[in-house]
Amino acid sequence: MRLCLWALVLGSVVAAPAALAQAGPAEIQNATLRRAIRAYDNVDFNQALALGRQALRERLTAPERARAYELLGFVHGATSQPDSCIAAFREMILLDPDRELPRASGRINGYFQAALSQVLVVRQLQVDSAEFVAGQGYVPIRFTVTSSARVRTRAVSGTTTILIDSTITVGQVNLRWPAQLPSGEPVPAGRYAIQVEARGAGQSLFGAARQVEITQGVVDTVAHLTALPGYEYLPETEIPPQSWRPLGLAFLYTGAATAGALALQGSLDARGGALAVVAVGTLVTGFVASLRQPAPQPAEANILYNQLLREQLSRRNAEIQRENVARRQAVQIRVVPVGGGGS
Amino acid sequence: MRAGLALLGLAATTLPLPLTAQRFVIGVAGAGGDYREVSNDLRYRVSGVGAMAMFAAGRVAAEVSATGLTYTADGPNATRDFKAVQFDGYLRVLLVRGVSVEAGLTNRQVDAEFEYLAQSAAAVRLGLYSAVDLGRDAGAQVRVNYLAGARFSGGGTAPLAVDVGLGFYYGVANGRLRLTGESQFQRFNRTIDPGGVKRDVPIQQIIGKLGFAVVL
Repeated sequence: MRLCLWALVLGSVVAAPAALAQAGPAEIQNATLRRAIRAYDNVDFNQALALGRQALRERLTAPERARAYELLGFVHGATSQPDSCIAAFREMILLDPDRELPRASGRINGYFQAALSQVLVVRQLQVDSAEFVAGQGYVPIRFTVTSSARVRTRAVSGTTTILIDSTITVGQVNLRWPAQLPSGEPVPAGRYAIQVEARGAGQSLFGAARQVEITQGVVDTVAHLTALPGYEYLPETEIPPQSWRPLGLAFLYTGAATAGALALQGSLDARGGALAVVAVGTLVTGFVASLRQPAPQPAEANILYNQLLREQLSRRNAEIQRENVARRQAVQIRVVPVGGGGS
Repeated sequence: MRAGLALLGLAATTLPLPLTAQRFVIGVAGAGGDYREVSNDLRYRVSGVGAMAMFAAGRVAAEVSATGLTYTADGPNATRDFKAVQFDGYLRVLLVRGVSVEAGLTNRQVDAEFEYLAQSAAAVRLGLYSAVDLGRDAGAQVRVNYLAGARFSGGGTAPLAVDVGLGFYYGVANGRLRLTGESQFQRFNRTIDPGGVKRDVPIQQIIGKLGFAVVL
């Protein structure tokens, strides 16, 4: 049993220096606190505890105070004093709600989680950058509430207050803010504080805020199309291959006329000189036409294809025109988090 | 004046054809052929010159031609020569590609009709006309017209009267100028009824024309 206890202590000690290293000795100006950390690093828990408590009685900055409580939490955790450990972590969380324990043993992490559940804070409030057309996008907001509470999220700018969300919740919260006024209009440009207020059952109250800069811009219009990608107009005429079709047609027409004349001549002979001259002329015309390059003919399929293409292009451009009308009336919203949050 | 006309003609034949649905064609032609009436013994050789004009717009076309003809006695029963003027008019509407329905009239006025050398004849045309492109600026056409309500200066009727025509054109000078040829076989199965005895006195004329036309 003793062996197990020592193993736990050693495990905590091995993990703790890394955690305290994050505190950064350089950032700690208070000499007592620095000595306390050094004592902890040397596994001199009594010395670390005494110096830590002494440092808390001295003048410390808020981060130093949070680190002092963190140190005490680790010392109590390493010396198996859970209540004191949790109490120290609780103080640390209230001072610095966003603080995460760096690499620590499972047992100390457990104490830390227990401490979290005993206080009401809003942690890790994050507002992501976003850019969207008003009404078609949102600003992602996320945070964690450590205890069940009525949580109200607002955007505040000067006298303008916009309620984003109000709910009773605990744990991770993800919100989508469309950056619109209750009337549906996009929020005016300016600097906004995204405030999260959590009110617990015991009327405990905690708030966190992040600053964002909201700017408005025009929405880019879409250029009209002169061609549909992947589709090209086809030639509307085509030269058919050379053939003897003209001569054949000339034969057909000549034969029809000659046969008609012969069939109708009856008792009177038809001296066919004049008829023959024209018939021969027709045949010669057909023969010469057969030897010449054929005249370009309308390519019906291509004409239909081009017509459909033009209709499609016209329809698409009409859609673009309608879309551009809407785009000219739309507002591009750009949200950028800026420094200066707070709890 | 002559120089102006020559320049106009030159310009008309050198400019490319406009791509339009309307077309106006005028032309002149020399004619030759054969005319027979009643029997093969009453026959004449025919020669002459004529002019034509044609206007086409969309599916409709109108065409007129006038030909001055000289009939030279050729058969044993033909006693002397005479002259005539033949006028043909056509109005046609395109039915389907290449085939039109055609209506019009034909009128051949003989200058010596009262000497019983030959008959003046007139009739209404009703029939079909087919034209086909044989290639670039070349084409052929054929027509079959029923000659309805035929009237003759010597009287009589022709229950069956037909006009069969064949023609071609070959375009040169960007299609502005056309060499043209046209034949016309005209047959009237004319009958007369002198003294109550019915008698066949058919009239048959074949004319061929060669000439040129300008497309405006």
